[in-house]
Amino acid sequence: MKRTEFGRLIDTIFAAKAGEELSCSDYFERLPRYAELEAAGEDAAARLPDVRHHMHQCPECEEVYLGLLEVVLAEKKSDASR
Amino acid sequence: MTTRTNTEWLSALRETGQSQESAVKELRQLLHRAIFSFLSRKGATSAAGPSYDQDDLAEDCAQESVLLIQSKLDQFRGDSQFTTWAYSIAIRVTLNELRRRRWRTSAIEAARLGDAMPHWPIDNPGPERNLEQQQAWAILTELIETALTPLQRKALIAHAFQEMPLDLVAEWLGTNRNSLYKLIHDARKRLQAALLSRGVTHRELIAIFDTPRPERPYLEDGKKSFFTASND
Repeated sequence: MKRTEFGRLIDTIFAAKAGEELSCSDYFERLPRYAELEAAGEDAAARLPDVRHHMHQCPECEEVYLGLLEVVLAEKKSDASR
Repeated sequence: MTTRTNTEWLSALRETGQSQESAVKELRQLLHRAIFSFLSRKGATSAAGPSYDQDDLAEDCAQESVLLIQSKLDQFRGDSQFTTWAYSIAIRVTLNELRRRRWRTSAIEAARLGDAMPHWPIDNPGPERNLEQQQAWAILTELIETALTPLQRKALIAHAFQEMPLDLVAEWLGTNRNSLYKLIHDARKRLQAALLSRGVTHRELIAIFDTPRPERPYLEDGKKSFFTASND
C-alpha cells in the first residue's frame, strides 16, 4: 500500500458520517450533473456536497469522476474550436 | 455526425429500425472515441498487461456501454446532457475492465483473501519515524481485528489492503456494490469510534505517517504524542 493510499484510508475513516451516505448507485446518478457543473467553472462541491463526500470516501468512484471530467472538458474544447 | 438533443437521443434509441440503428452507431462511435482518448491519456497499456490492445479494449467497452445504456434509458434523469450521462457509463465500464484485468494478475492467494493484513503498509517509511509508525500501525491493525465484524474485516482487508476492486469484492461476498459500500462505511464508523476511544485523532494519525516530521504542532494542548508518550 502506498503512503498516499494509506493517508486516504485514514481520511475516510475519520470522515465517515454518523448517518447514511450516498450509495455508489446514487452517486453515479448525480455524477454527470456534477461533472458538467465543474466543467462550467461552477462550485460543484458546494452545489452537490453529498456527491463530493462520496467521491472522497470511495476512490474508485472518484476515478470515474476524474475520467468523466477529462472527457467533458475535451468535448467542451472541441465544441469551442468548431 | 449529427447533434442531437436529449429528447432526440432518447426517442431515437427507443425506436426501432433505421433511426435506432443510426443512433446506436453514432453513440458507439462517440463512446469509442472518448474511451480511446481516455485510455491514451491514462497510459493504461502497461497497467492492463502486455497482451492488451487499446483499440480492441475501447471497442469492447464501447459496445458493452451501448448495451448498458440501452437497458438503462429509463434511469436517465435529464439533469445533464445525455452524452455526459453516456460517457459516465462508458468510463465506469472501462475502469471496471482495467481493474478486473489488474486484479487477475495480482499475487494475492485465494486463501489469504480478506484474511491477512500486510505487515507494513507504507512504502519506504524512513527509519527516523519507524517506531512511531509501527506503534500506530499496531493499534490500527489491532482495532481492525477486534472492533469489526468478520464480514466488515474481510471486506475492508480485501478492498483497502489487498486492492481487490469493489465490484469483485461484492461478487466474492455474494452482495452488491451498494450494500458493500454500506458495509465498509459501517466499518469506518466503528474504526473511527475505536480510534477516538483510544485518544487517537485524525490529525495525529496523519501526522505520524506524514513527511517531513512535524514538530508536533497537531497537539494543541501541549500533550505528548499518544504513540510516543511511553517512549520519551
